[in-house]
Amino acid sequence: MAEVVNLITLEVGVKVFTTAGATIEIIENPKDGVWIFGKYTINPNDPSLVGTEEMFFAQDITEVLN
Amino acid sequence: MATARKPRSKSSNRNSLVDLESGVISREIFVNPEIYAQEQEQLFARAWLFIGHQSQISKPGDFFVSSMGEESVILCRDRQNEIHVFLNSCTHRGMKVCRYDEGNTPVFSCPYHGWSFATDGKLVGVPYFKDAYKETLDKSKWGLPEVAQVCNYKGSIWATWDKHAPSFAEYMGGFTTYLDFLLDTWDGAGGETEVFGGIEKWVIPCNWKFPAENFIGDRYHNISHRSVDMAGVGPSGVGRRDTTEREGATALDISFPERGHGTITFLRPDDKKTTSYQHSKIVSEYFAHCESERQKNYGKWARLLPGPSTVFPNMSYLPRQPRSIAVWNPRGANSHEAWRWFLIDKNAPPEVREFLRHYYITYSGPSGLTEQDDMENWNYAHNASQGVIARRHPYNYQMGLGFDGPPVVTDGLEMPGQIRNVTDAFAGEQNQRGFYQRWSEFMSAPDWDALATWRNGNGKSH
Ligand code: FES
Ligand SMILES: [Fe+2]
Repeated sequence: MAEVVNLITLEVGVKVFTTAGATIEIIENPKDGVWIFGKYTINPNDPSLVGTEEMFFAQDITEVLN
Repeated sequence: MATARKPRSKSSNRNSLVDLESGVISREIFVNPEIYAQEQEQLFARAWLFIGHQSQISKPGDFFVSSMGEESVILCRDRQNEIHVFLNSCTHRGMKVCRYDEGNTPVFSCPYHGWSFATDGKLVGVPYFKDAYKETLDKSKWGLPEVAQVCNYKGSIWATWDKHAPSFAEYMGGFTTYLDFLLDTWDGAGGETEVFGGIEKWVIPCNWKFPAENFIGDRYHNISHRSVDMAGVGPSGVGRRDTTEREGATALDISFPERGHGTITFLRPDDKKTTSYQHSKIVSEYFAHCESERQKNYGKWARLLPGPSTVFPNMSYLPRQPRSIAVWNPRGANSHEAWRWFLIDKNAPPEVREFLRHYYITYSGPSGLTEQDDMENWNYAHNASQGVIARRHPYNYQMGLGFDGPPVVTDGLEMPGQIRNVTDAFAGEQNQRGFYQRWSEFMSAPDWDALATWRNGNGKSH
């Protein structure tokens, strides 16, 4: 099983990978361990979303990229 | 458990429980769980309640978890700088969405299944919204429940769940004249006041009405504080307050029976100079300066020295020494949670802050010697009133009933409220009777049309 990402420790600017195969850059972290605010930097499923902002659920984040 | 003597119908028995013509009140209203449950609906769900102070949420995203009756609520400032008060309970399955006392956050995320609410209360995050709900959940309908009305009055934040309640200004009536002494700066110049230190919270095993009726103007219990007066915890090292500033003043009990509020006030002679806060040079000079500015800014109103007060139903305050706010949050018929805020002028120098910090906690709160005296009375009174035999004997509120006090000479000061001169009598119970008159009205009135008695001029008084 992949290591569980601890959202609380992630700073703004860090990039993470999602279950949907997208890469997200963190723009705000409420540090509740449940959600982060991020912006798509890569989204193979829907490239039109790149640059848009959304909230991302902890269980959808699989990996920290940097 | 309710006893065999429990009331059966709401209104008829309520009137017999609170008999203000005779000045007697049944102990049932303090100890009976059924009456307590009715209070939550009739009173706490309809009245304006104190929530907190704007200085506790000065920046967008700031929040403070407060209480309205039994309910936990979140006071917060959203990203657009607007103040909100929400029920602190997730709309999905009820989990407390915020379990901190205060802080700053962009969202309140529920720890149970992860629903997340923005600082304006909107539901913004739903896990598996696409996969599990197929985006059919109408998020706009599932935000945090918000109070019907909120009001920022001179930095104090108030709210009500009842959209038919009158505005806060109408709810208060002329009582704001007295509340202002708490919320204004010491010099009355309109500067900023802030909450000082943390909020003290503690449980007192007695009904919430014991402290509410005490603070509304119980001069009679001065005897219980004799040991504190002997210890000299006051700001000049004598007594528990600076009573020299009250010398020669007329002692007034002021009641708003049609609204339930009440206060103790002293009206001092025009030329009276005050000597107070003789603790140290810096502190004395600071307060002497505030006092002379106060006299300039308030003019003839500076003659009023405000004392303990209660805003109906459960917010009490001490406007002067020590300057603080208390809320008596109901937690069952036999218990309540007392919360105490301390106020200070934002520009008070460090020495004054340090002195007041010490004075405040020596006087009030669980560590406060004066408050400990009070708590002991309320705890034991409540406990000794619970038995079936005890409940057969009503409490006595007959002091000053059936006769008037001496005339009040206000020299043109138009003081609102029902004013009673108790200088010679030393004490009276009109304020308590006013409080329970209003309590009875809340417990039986079907709606705010019936509760706004002042609109048709039929607010009667005792
Ligand atoms: S109870 Fe809050 S998300 Fe389920
Ligand atoms: Fe007291």
